[in-house]
Amino acid sequence: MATSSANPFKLGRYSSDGLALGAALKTQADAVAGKLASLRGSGSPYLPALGEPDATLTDLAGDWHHLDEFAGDVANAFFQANQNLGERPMSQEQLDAMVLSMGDESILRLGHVGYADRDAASAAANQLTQDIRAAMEDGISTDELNGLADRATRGQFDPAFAVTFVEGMGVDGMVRIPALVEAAWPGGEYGDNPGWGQDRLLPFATILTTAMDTRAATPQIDRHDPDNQNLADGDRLNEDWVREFTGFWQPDDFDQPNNLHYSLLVKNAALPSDVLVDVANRHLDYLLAHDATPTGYMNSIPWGINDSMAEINILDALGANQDASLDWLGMKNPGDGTIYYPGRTATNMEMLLRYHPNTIDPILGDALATVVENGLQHWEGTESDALFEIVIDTVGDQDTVHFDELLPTLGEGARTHMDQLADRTHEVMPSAVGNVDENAQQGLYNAHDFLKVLMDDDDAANSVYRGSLEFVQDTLNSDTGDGFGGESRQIGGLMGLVTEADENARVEATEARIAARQSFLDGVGLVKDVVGLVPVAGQTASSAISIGSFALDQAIDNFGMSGLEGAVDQDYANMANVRDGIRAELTSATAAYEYGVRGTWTSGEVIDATNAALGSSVAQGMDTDFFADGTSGDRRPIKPYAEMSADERRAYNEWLNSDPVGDAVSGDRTAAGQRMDEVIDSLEHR
Amino acid sequence: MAAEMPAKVEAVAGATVADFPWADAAAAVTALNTAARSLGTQLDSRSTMLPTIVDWVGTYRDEFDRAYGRITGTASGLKETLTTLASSIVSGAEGANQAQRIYNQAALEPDPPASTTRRSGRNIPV
Repeated sequence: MATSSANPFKLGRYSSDGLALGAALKTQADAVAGKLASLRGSGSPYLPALGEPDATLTDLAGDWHHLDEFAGDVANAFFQANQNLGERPMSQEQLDAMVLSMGDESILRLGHVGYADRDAASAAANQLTQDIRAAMEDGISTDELNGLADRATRGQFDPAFAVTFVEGMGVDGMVRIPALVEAAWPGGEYGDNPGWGQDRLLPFATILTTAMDTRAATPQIDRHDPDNQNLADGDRLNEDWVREFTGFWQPDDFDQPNNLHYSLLVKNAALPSDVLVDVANRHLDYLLAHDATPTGYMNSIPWGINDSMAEINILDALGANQDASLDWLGMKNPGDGTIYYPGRTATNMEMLLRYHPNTIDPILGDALATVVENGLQHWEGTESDALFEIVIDTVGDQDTVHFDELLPTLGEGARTHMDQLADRTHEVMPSAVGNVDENAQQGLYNAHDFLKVLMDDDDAANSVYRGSLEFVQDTLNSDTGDGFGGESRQIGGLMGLVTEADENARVEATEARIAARQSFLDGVGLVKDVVGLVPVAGQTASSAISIGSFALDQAIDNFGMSGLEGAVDQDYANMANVRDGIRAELTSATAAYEYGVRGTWTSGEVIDATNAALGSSVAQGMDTDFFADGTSGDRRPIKPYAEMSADERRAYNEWLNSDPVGDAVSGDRTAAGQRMDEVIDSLEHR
Repeated sequence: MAAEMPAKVEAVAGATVADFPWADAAAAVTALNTAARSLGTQLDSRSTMLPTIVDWVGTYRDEFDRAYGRITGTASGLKETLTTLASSIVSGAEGANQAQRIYNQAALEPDPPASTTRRSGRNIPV
């Protein structure tokens, strides 16, 4: 195997210095081209023949840019292979003396190295184009295809090679390349050599990726090689070619370039998001609008079970690009040439959720779920939130999800967007306003029906409960110290919504389901510890919680695990018991908030209230001090509930039921319970 | 030395004007001279930079050297081409000035006296 040696630091410096020189030359080339263009418009008999030195100069600037990039790519390969190189403390002398060696194949792969000479790159691309076209006419052997794929591999990352090749082949020619690979398949069938074709197709798809990378319109975040940003306009892929590519559609003609081969190219390339969105709109619209079932090419699987259905390949490509997924899901008008053009009112997200083909293929379900997950988990919060609203209303309206594979994804979506579900419990309640618009609560009803569908699936239900607990924690973290009432009302409303949906789902109370309920309730129970741990008068809950929420974090991390360990409390099979537990825990948390955050009472006053509540029932020697051991003073922290002895727990519960606590927390407790009851009542009497 | 545009000879009253794009030509000469100088700088700088990567050896280095040789050859030739073109445009401007001088001279010379004899040789009906 051939190897190369270099000092990557020096080589990298050479490249960047050369690129800076080249950039200056390009400016001069543009100036000369502009000035000579003006002169060419003159009819003066005194002007000499101008020739085309401006074109030569522009070409030269491009050649130098290409050569400097080449040196930089080789340097990058050495850095990629030695990623800790920059972290070693070395003197300048050591850096200058360093020479590394590595195989040429690794340099090509790691550095995305192309040709040094741009003219050589274009010549190689032209020759490959001619040879592929000849093979398409004359037929091809396995060895010949291997040879063509090797030549494609050599130039796959070179922008000049890629643009020349792609434009030379044309859209139809590019789409026919997978068919050429198919024709050369050793043994003739996929099963004879599984995956053989994918490996040979990959460099051709990468060439398409590189060519797309040269577009000025390619979003910066999608650009694989940042240096392609600075290419001269004449070195970029023509946008007319891109439009023809995104408009390609040939579903059933096996003798022509067709959708299956097109989709293979799309799946194996990494197209920029704007191109991918256009491709997806063109190729998925018919499927979704007609509830069509994707079928294998010629009803067979020439590229294996995972790659032989065009629409699934397109979905896979979309699923590999989060930005494209988000954009596509939110679009209503899929563009020219599609069946609903113009003016479709449903978004692609709604179309996808309502899509109900005769045959439910799990591979299709997985592909759809990945795209939906990309949208619901995207960091662009506003757009992702908007998609989740569509999810709630669509699933709530149709009362089902057609692909089981979507349920865990939607469960995690609910977990991420739990605040939006909680917001729907804030809709106008009958008890709050006299004459309400009956439609005003449709949002709440859809939220309930959506959650009810999720509750049919243990994974999704687990996500919903876990997300609810996280919502509790986030709500407390956002407290500003003005009282626990608003937070408890929000929490109470969500508790009512979630437990009602779980109850109405009428699913079997499996161990996993009960474990989820128990983890949820246990987590809510930890809230009282969290807000009671650090009692400082005037301190907001968030600062106390930031110190004390470790237990709650642990509860969230280990969510549902208790069921797997066989420690499930069967009481939680009964939803009424779950709700009673939630109410009690919210009361307890409210009391802890009064003591720990607001400083309503001193520790001595708490002990007095406890003893008064215990009255004569206190036994001789009973330990009624439920504060942390070894503490003293007026602001002693309450011991975490799990660490209390039986006596301490009894005393603690008596304190919660004492008159001072009742007087202080009745408003908040009532508000939380009332909101919970309102939500349940509203849902049960819709 | 870089070619420089001559001062424009203005047309006198009544003189034919020699057609020449003075402003565009001046801008082009400046651009060509600047580009030629820039090419010279490029070649010098790159020649200085080349020894810094003497450690680089192997197939890709060989490919680099071949491309480097071709491109620097083109650059050297182009530098001369740009300089020559700038000079040619300047020469064109001088040619236009020379023509303008002739037109000006013609415009300044007095008209010949009008003839008192009737033209002959053509029978013009009256």
